[in-house]
Amino acid sequence: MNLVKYFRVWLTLAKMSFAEQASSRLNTASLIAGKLVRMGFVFIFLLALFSHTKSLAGFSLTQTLLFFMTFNLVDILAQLFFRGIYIIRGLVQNGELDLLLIKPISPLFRIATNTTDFLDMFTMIPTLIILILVILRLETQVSFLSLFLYVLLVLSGIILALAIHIFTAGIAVITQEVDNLIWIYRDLMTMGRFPAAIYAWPVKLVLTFVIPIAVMVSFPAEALLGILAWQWILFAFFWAAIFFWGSLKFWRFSLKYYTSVSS
Amino acid sequence: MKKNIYPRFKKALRKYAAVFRTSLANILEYRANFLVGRIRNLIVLLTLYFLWTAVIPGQGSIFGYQKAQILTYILGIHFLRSIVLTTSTYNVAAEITQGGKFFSYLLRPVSYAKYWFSVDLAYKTVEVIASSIEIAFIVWIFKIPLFFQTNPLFLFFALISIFLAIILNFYLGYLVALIAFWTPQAWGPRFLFDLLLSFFAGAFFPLDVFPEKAQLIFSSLPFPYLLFFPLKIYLGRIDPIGIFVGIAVSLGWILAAYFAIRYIWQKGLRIYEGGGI
Repeated sequence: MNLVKYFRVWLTLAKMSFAEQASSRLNTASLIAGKLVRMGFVFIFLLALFSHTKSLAGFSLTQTLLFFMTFNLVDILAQLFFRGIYIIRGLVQNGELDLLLIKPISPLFRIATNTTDFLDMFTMIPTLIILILVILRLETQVSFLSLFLYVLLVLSGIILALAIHIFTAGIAVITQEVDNLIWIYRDLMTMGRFPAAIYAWPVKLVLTFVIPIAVMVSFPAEALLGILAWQWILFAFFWAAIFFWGSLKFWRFSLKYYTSVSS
Repeated sequence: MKKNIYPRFKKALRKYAAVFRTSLANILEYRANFLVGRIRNLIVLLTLYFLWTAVIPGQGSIFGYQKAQILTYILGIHFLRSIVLTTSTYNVAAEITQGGKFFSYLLRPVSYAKYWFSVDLAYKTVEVIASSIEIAFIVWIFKIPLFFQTNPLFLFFALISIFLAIILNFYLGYLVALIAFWTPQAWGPRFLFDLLLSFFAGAFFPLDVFPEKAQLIFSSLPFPYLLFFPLKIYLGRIDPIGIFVGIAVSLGWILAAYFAIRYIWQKGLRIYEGGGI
């Protein structure tokens, strides 16, 4: 029953987001074109790069493209569903968070789903098509188990993305000013466009344990290629659970510091 | 005659210097935002550094670039982005479409374009200092081998091309912002424009990775003259004829953008309705 209620809320908010985006057609068309062009540029770059080199940190062109398309998949899904978190600072600063706190629904859910970025739907379609083509062209045989693990690790990656968004929301509630932090996450996320193996070990350490971009993006691709040890697969699920649990705790903790200062 | 021009010039300079100082104070006031911006820039720089060191392990070369040259290119791009691409012209569109603030500028004894160019210079000053520190830090940490140009002619023309790139980038950004006279939906096209600009300027990788025909097409666009061309001169990867042709094309684009701005400004003012005044 509760799930139905939450689904209805999401659907209503999603319809509103869609109506808003559809009303400004020039912006919408430009943003969709921009997102596709950005993806295309990296694609072109990798093709150009591999016309002069055989491998990138030991990965072939197809394998590198798998990492890139997995990055796009996780990033687009996170953008599609959690874009609402970006407005948290505004809600805190102008006191509108009060209105969400008294509603008979999880305020976190309400904030996260406030904006469903339908523009990413348009980038999702080519992303999925290219991803499937890349998987079909991989040099190594893809087993059903590795495909299954890939899907599970992508899902755990999305949970990690959600957890990072929740942490950011909590920090915004406490400090009232650091919504910029989400942009640091976005930039760190772009490090996941390429295999984590290209980075030096201290960076890899940060990308695995602190802001686990590698777990979100590189791990699924490595599992599909059959080169990720089972200990790391378990670690990915464990880390996603820990992060998600920690983020919810932190969110509740941050609300205790909410002073409703601007309402 | 000289006596008349000099005080007027001095007065104008004082006016725009005040805009510069105010903008500088404004940037430094929001220190948290500034710091976050620096961290973001550093992340992009590190990503590119690791990518290229993975592409060229040891002392190899790629696309005809030695390792030191390609790493100098990446760091050079970081520096040139700060001095050339840093701009506040995206605010112009917001001012024209929102709140009627734009109208107040029309009543002031300032040129709107010069006002924003002064603001740009303040942003550029801060960015150049910050990016220089970041580059020095990265070079020190990773012991990056750099390419130093010793030929004074290449250095001279590199400086000339950077100067032209600053003007060209301002004109292009300002020109795109003026579409706000016709539509309030100006930031979507700006997002697309900035992406295209960064790519064709060579902000992510040198444009000579492309086939020659593609490079020829790119060279007719204004974008390569913002980053790629100055760096190509600095790295000494262009002959004297290429330098003169490039500078001539830059000048051509600057003139074209200047006249386009004048034309669009006049047209835009005629249809400006002053919404929000």
